[in-house]
Amino acid sequence: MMRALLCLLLLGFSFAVSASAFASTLVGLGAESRFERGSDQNLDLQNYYSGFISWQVANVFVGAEIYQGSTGATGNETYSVSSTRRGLWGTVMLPGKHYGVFVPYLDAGLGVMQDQVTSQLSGTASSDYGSPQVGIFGGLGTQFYFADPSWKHLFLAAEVRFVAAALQDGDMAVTPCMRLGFMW
Amino acid sequence: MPRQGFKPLRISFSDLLQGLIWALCTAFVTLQMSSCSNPQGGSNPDTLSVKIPWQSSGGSYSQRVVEVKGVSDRATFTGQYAQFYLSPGETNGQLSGYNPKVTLVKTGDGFYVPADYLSTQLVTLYAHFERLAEQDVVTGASSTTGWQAQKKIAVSVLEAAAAGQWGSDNAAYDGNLDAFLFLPYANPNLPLTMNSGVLAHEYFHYLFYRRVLTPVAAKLSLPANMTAHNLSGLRAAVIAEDQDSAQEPAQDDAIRSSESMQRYYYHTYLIRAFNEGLADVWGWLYSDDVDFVSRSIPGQEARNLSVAALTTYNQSDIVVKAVQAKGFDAGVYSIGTNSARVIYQLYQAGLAGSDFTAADGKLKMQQLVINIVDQLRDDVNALADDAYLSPNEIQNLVNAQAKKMGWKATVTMASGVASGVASGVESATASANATAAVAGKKQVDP
Repeated sequence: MMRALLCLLLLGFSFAVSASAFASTLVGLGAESRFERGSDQNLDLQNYYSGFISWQVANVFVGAEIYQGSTGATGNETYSVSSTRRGLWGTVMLPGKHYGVFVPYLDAGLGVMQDQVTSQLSGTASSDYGSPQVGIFGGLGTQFYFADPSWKHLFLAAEVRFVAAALQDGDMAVTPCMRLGFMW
Repeated sequence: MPRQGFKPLRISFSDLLQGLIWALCTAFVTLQMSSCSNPQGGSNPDTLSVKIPWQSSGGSYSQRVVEVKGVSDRATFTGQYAQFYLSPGETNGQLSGYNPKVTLVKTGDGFYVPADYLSTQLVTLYAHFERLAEQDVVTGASSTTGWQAQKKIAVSVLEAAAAGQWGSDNAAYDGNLDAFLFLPYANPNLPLTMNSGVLAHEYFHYLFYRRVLTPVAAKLSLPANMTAHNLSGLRAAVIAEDQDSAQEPAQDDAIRSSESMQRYYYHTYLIRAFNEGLADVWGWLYSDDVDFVSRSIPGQEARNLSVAALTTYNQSDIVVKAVQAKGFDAGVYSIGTNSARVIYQLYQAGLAGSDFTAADGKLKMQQLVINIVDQLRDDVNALADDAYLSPNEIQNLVNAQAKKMGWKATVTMASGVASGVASGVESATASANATAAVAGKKQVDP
């Protein structure tokens, strides 16, 4: 509840400020598939969903992104465990030149995240929250440029991020993501 | 003023390259800094608090925070008491394969929670093997030749079962590999890797292999693969011990009926039975659960140790059975369970007769079992070449060793009820009576 309220406040503030102070404002949603080496040495897949907002400051977009993703439950009927990660990035996005319909960009972020482990044993569930962790990511992406003026506010981008979000286990994760937003 | 897409900034390729290099350098430095405080990668063998499924009194399980120590590599949970392998193979007689990674989440309260199923299994295994090793030190079992605190433990072991299928729901100790093997668990019940009784059962096979099987192997010409498995390369077939059969060279009927072969099958059968029965005792004493097997494997209620069904066996009946079974079939578990029940009866009698208390009774029973194991080894080695070990060896040793320990409790066996052995050993125990005498007073089983 507190998180939702915080998000709404942040969003309202951003709309108010961005309308007057910044050249461009970008608001949108993202979906990520994070591939990370799992305990069994295979690549585990976690799906993340995010909301982001950015403002143009000089030549870069500076913003914030919140996200959440879960491993889903593993185990059996007697014992199962799942892990959910929630986090907040501060982001910097550096657009490049147009290349046809593409506008490539560099993306980087620094943030905090928290894991929640929910386990169930013989029908009794318990939930534990991890201590907040620091993480970073660097990404390469491209915006798809729509020449048609009726699509001028649409922001559609594909990006690959290299996330060292799980600083607790020292692993890197590769995260292809799609981002859809509104820009004005 | 609305824009269409990003502002078409005039940033050159070299600018982009500079930015990329800057980002990578920043990421590298941050990762290096973070690794200094990496809670899973440290090399300090300190004590960790972990939240895992753990048994309570009476054998029930709940999630509890327990301490583990001696973990030198938290990323793989390798340490003083365990080294793990994931779906290993065998290379030059050694386990080979990956060390699985453990994913832990450190909570604000300072304890760690495994974040996935495999991690939970590994941490739980480590915690139990630590306690089982420490228990050896207390009971004196650590004096076993070749005993080491650190055990090799393989999980998700892939065993070829039916054509094109992998086996599941089993665990074993392999003496040749000197490793504990856990197959994937496909039942909906308590996973074998979290069942403390099962873990102690398998752990006992490790002790029995060193204290009995190895010293008597030459004497009895026991099969070299009595606790061995067939690992040949990563993800190759593993034959679990509990489903193992004597794989001696093929013998024709004439040889099989010879006296020496009869003795060979008989002793193979009997030693396996004693190994299984005493392992069940070890499992019960560690887990405080007399029915720990069926907690994970439905249909194994016949191994419940609290059932009052003790009997003596007729040697000739077991010879017939052992030869028919070529040294192994489900009957070894019946004989083993009967032996285990004798020890359970003695425990009840000892409690009733104040030979020990509930507080120290389990430890004394463990010491009794070790004494029985050592005496069994000595008795086998003292056998004449044409002699047969008594099928009631364990029953006999229980009373003798209890007396040596100064206890008043004895277990009195029913006799002449083993006629069912030839058609199935299990029927013998079911028809038996049990009496446990404590200083002339009869003890009735629960």
